[in-house]
Amino acid sequence: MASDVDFETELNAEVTERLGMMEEPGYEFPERMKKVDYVIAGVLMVICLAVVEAATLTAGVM
Amino acid sequence: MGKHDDFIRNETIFGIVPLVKGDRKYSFNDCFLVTSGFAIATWCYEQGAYSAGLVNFQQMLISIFGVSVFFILLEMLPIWFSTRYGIDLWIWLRSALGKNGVAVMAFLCPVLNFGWYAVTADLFRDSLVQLFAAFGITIPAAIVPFLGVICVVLGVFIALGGPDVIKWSSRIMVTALLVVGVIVLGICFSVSPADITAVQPDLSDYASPIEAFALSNEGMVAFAFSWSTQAYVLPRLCRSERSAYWSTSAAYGLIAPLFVFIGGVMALVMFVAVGEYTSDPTVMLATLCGPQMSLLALIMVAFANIGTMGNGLYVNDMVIKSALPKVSYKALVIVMAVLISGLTIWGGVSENFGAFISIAAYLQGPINGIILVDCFILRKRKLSLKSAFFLPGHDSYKFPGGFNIIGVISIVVGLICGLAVYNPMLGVVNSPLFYVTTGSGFTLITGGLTYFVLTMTPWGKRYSLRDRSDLEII
Repeated sequence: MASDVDFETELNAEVTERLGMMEEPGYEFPERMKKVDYVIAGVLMVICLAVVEAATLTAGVM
Repeated sequence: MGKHDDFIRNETIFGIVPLVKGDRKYSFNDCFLVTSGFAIATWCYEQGAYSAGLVNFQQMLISIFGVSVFFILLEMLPIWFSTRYGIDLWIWLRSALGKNGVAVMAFLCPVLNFGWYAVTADLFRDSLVQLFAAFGITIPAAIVPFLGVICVVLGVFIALGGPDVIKWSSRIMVTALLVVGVIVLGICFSVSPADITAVQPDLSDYASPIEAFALSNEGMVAFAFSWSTQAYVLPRLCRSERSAYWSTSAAYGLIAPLFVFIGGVMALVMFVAVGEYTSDPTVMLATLCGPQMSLLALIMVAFANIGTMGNGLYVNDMVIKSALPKVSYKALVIVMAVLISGLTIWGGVSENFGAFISIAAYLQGPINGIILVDCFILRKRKLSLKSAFFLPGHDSYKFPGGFNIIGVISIVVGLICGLAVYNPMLGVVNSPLFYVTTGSGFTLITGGLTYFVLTMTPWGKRYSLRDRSDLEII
């Protein structure tokens, strides 16, 4: 039981410290996904879905 | 290194605390190679042989790559938060499922994935037996069931070494595997006694060609979903969101399907050569090219399986650690290795393999739907990190009984809807919707939709979106 409390306390302290680092004004987050990434992913998904569904409709013919 | 430093290192590398700037080690190439090492496994060949038995060559190409690219690009979209905040999927999911909901699902999903690893070890064992047989050496039957354990033990060494060992072992393994894979593909096309692109599958057991094509698609969706709930661990270590997204998507959406495709091609070559679809690359190459080529196949199979086992132990234990944070990483690796070894020695998992992966996919489908809706539509990319870690004074994600009832209902609805269109245990198609969405795909749609509708009710907003005034880190 005591070790559980120690774990929780130590874990919370570590998490608090790390989240505190993220809250600091100069903290550098990783480079964000850009709009072009989402556009490329979206276009690729639409193409793949269209090809798969078209192949499904013509499955008896191919 | 003092006790506190030790704790920080262990919890940072093997634990659940959010990773910060100094912890990010992986470039695009590092994440791509490590994830590819995880993705390439002999179950890829099984999957390829399965598709080859259902569809023709052109349909196989579309089914393998079209389905994989679509679903992987979709299900990896929320991966940005893993890199940005250094957290795993299951930390975010505390908002959608609650603490105990996550504990249950984060335990169930990896446990259901044990079947994949047992089959991996089984194939490693079979390849060893085949190879020795090709050189005229018969391994005593009493020893054979234990050969798969070698794969598990070597995987344990890699997993216990942590990300640095995984990174370097993967660089060597994956580079070799990609080269060998391309060589094998070339050999398959050059030694094939007939044109494999003209092979038509025997569909006498299926209602129509559409059903056979949809079953191949269903297998590929289940294959794509099998990565989803464990895919957010490694991107925590990436230096940018876009490198995390594209490297992870390329590994699961292109490299793994490439090996599925190679498995399919080898199965087709075997079909035209001996009239049987075979999924074991060692058997295929020994039959088609002799024992020397079988040695090449063994290297391929052994490296792929050991790499997968090591990465899989690391990633799945990290996921379970989200559910059971107080259990040590080392203990989890060993317990999981013992379980997989037991399943391997038993040898019965392969017979029920279809049921294993389908059940896992039907659970993971709704979770994928929920995370997409929760992350992009409902919480609009903003999570209360302090509530997600249940820090004192931040209670937005504390639900009665520890379960977010909306998330639980959504998983159940997704599961029921999936079964309503296709029952994977019986292999029965219950609705033509299956041809359009597949069963697993339908669990994603219905799970996500249910979660959206229930959360958007006035009660749902009060119940589930209490964090909107507690967003301090964005």
